[in-house]
This record gives sequence, C-alpha cells and structure tokens, in this order.
Amino acid sequence: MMSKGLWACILPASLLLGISLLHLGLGAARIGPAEIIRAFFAYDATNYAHVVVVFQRLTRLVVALYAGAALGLAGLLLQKIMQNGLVSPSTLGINAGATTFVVLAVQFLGLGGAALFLPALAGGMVAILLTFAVTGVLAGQGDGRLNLVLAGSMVGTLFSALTTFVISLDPEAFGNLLGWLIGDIGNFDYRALAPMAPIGLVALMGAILLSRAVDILALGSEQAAVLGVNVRLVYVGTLLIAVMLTVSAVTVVGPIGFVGLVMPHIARLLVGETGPMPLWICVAGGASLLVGADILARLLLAPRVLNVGTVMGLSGGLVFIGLIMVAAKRGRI
Amino acid sequence: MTASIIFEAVDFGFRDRAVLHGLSFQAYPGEFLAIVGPNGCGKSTTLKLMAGLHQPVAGRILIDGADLHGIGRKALSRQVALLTQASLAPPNMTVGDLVAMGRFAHQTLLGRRTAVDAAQIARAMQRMEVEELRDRRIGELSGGQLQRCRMAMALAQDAPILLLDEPTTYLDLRYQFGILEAARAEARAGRTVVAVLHDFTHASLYADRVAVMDDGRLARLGPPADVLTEELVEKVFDVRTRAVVAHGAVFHIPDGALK
Repeated sequence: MMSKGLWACILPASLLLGISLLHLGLGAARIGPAEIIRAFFAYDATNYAHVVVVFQRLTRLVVALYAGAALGLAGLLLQKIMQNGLVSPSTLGINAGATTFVVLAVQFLGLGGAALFLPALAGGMVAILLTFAVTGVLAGQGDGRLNLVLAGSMVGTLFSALTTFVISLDPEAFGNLLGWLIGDIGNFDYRALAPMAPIGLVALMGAILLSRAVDILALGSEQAAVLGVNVRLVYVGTLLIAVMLTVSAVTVVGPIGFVGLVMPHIARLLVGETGPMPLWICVAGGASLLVGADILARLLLAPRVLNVGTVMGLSGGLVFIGLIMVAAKRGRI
Repeated sequence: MTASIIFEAVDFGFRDRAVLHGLSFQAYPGEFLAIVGPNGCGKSTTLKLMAGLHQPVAGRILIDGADLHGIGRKALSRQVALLTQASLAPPNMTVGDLVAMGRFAHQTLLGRRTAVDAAQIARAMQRMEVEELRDRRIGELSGGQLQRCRMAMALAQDAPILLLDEPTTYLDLRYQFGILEAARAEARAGRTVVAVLHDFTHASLYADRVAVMDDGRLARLGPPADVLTEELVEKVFDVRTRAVVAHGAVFHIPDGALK
C-alpha cells in the first residue's frame, strides 16, 4: 500500500498535468492530447494546431502556472506566520498596493515590462505596512485577527480608489492595461516578464529553507524562541518572501485574488499543518486552480473570453464570505 | 554535557515596572532547584531570563561559564530547554510533529531527522507516556495530555539545563508526580533542573534545594526543610501555617483550616 505522503505528492502532480493538458487542448479550436504531444516533440511549423499550442496556449499556460503557484504559496506563508486563516495577498491589501504603484509608474515614469516589478514591490510593501499600522491603531478592540483583515480591506479599498483616480487622469494611456487591471492572462508577449521566474524560484527556495522554523511559529513566538527559532528574522524573512512572490505574480497577471486565500485551507484539510507537504499542495494546487480558472474564463461565455480575474474575484468573494461565516460560528479562524 | 547557571546581581524590569532586584544565585548540574514565591514575585520572569527570552537590565547570567547575552538563539536552545506555562496549540498538528519540534535547535535548515533525533524523540515520549498519542491531533487532547506532550517536547530538546514553569498545571495526581519524578530523574542524570512550583509539598519531596522569592529578591535558598519554615511562609506569603514534617516532606496546613 502506498503511504499517505506519497499519494499527497502524486495526486496534485497528476491534477496539475491533467488540467494543463486540458488547458492546451481546449479553446476556439479543440486540439487532442496526441496532437499536443506531437506539437512538443515533433513540432511542425506548417501545422496550425502546433503553432497555436506552442505560441499561444503554452505561454498562457506557463503564465497561469507561475502566477497560481506563486499566489498559493504566498497565501500559505502569510496565513502561517500570522496564524490567521483569513489573510492572503488580496485581503491584506498587497495586491491593491502593488497595482496602484504599477499604474503610477506607467503614468508618470513611463515604465513597462519587468521594470514594473520594483514599483509593484514598493507598493506591496507600503500596503502591508499600512495594514499593520491600521491594525495597531485598532489593537485592544475586538478580535485582533479580524482587525487585521479589516485593516487590509480598508487599505485595499484606498489603493483601488487611488488606482481609479490615476487612470481617470488619462484613461487612454491605460487602454492596453485594462485587462491587466482586472487580472488577466492574455495572449500577449510575456517574454519581457521572464525575469519574474528567477524571483519566484529564489522565493520558493527561501520558503523551503524557512519552512521548519515557520511551522514552529505556530506555537507562538515565545515558545518558538525557546526551541531555537530567531522569531523576528523568520517572520520578516517569510513576510518578504510572500510579498515578493505576490508582487512577481501581480506584475505578470494583475491583481488576482482568491488563490492565496483558499489554497492554504485546502492544504490544511488534506495534509495538516506541518512539514513540506502543505507547501507542495499550495504550489501545485494554486497552479491548478488558476489554470482551471483560465479554462473557465475562456469557455464560460465562449466565444467571448472573460478575464480570469473576474472568475477568481467572483468565486473568491463567495468563498471569503463563507470562510468568515464558518470562522464566526466556530469562534476560531 | 552539563552546565550550571549563575545569576550575578541581575536587575530586570518591564517598561514601567521593576521585577527583579539584584538577584544572585547558582544552580548546579545534577540538582533539582525549586523556586517558590507569591504571585507576581518574578519566578516566571527568572526562568524566562535563563532561557534568553528577556535581557537583564543590569548584572549577568552565566550559562556554563559563558555570558548568556553572547550566545546565539539556536546555540542557547541546545543548552537550555524551557517548559513554558502556556503556548498556542495548533489543533491540527499531530503530537508526533509537536514533540519533534523539540529537535529544531539540533537540526540544520534542510537536514532530515537523524537517528539521534529519532532516539531523543522516542525517549522523551516514552518518559512522558505519550507514545500512544503520537498520531493524535492536538485539538483532541485533554489539558493534561497536552501538558505531558509539551513536556516531552522540552525533554526532546536534550539540553543540559531544563527549566519548568509550573509543570504540574492541568495534571491529575498521577501525572503530577510523574512529571516531577521525570524532572528529578533528569537532574540525577546530570542536568540542571530549575522548576517554578506552587506546592510546598512537591518542592520538599522532589527538590534538592528551594529558593524562596519575594518581590523580585531572593528571600532564602537552601534545603527544603531549612527554607520552608512557618516563619518564612508567614513573612513571604502572609499566611500563618503549621508546618508538619512527614516522610521527608514538609506540609503546611493553614491555621484557618485547623479545627
């Protein structure tokens, strides 16, 4: 009999592979699995199906895989260090802050491509620091963990308003960015954004290195210190990794929510709290989730293509309300 | 590996409140030192200083002759284990995972669990009789079971200095004695054991020496029968009691309870 751990490795990998093949096959023209495999291993430039698979759907797939994995992992790290099942890149305002700074950089500095990572990072950091500051003001009143999410929502709303304001100054300049602002995986040239990949890899390695210490933080900072964890270093390091992952994804696909919120809950249900397995579930599951959402975005109103951000926003909002209701009922988040 | 603890005129306070005033004492390898004293006298704070969770405002704490201040967090955790009064308990974590966390200070960032780790975890779980709870989730445990699992985590740390802050909390009679016997056995094996206790009988039965603290100062330190006297108890705790010695233990019976 195979161990539970082995299943937890294999099943997400199979899901990921299956949904990726589906992603490559479905669309305006349906392409069978055999043809997809031929497109990779016996590429024929005169075969239209091969061109579509390799030059359109594959980029789209890679982008969805990367963004989903990065956001899933970021959500897990945030929920673990904050011991709060309601936090995520979007509910802490990181997405919104990064978006505002990108829009500012496009409008006033004329930046584009991978260079947008830096303003996005600055925006993400400003947003989370603001969220912490607002939470500090609320300290001692109500439930601290709900306060954090409340503060994050306020900061998110604030930055969204700022984004809208900047766009309203010169709407035509943002014509091309409109899809990105909603959260989109388009068929445009992503090569300029390739530098995001090493950022994600470095962050993933950092997350793996810190994972044991992060697990111990679940016992509270005092107990963690007693066991030998440098609490401040691990907290700040993990926070930075989570923000970098989020921002690298936002730079590519725009502010997509939900993945980072829901994946840690799924991981907890499937493989518990500790060890490297939750990381893997969030990486593989986050990627599958976003690829799946992209399939839905292309199929739901076909031939019209929805923004994947719309699909995620709608489902994410509903799940978020559900989570809060369950948490309130249990008195625990 | 053994290590002594030396407090040299340690002052400590929180922002607006002085807690310890010129505290000096030593604890030696092989001994079980109990700290007793009224609520708020600085007992737990003393343990936290030994574990490096707070820094003295003045004075020094020496661990095995080295100033605690200069020892890195992970290295210190290989020297000092502390069973805290309470910690968060993630309900989905298994007991096995919890106890294994005691080995963190001995592990490299990526290193897998070694044979030594496994042996120490097994020893600790056996010592606290929690082997059969290994796969249970923390949320399913009773308060007493959790306390024994937390003690197993502290034992798994395999540190020459073992600090226990009110270790008998939540435990029924059998396991109260069980945890104190385990602590004494660790002392006999050469560790330095310091425990904050509330129960004089426990202190006199299990500790080699008792330190009585009063308002951040050391009121007296010595063998239980010399220290836990009617006079000292009245002075420090402000209760009149009758001390009775039987089977090597000191029992304090409050005057008000005598008929």
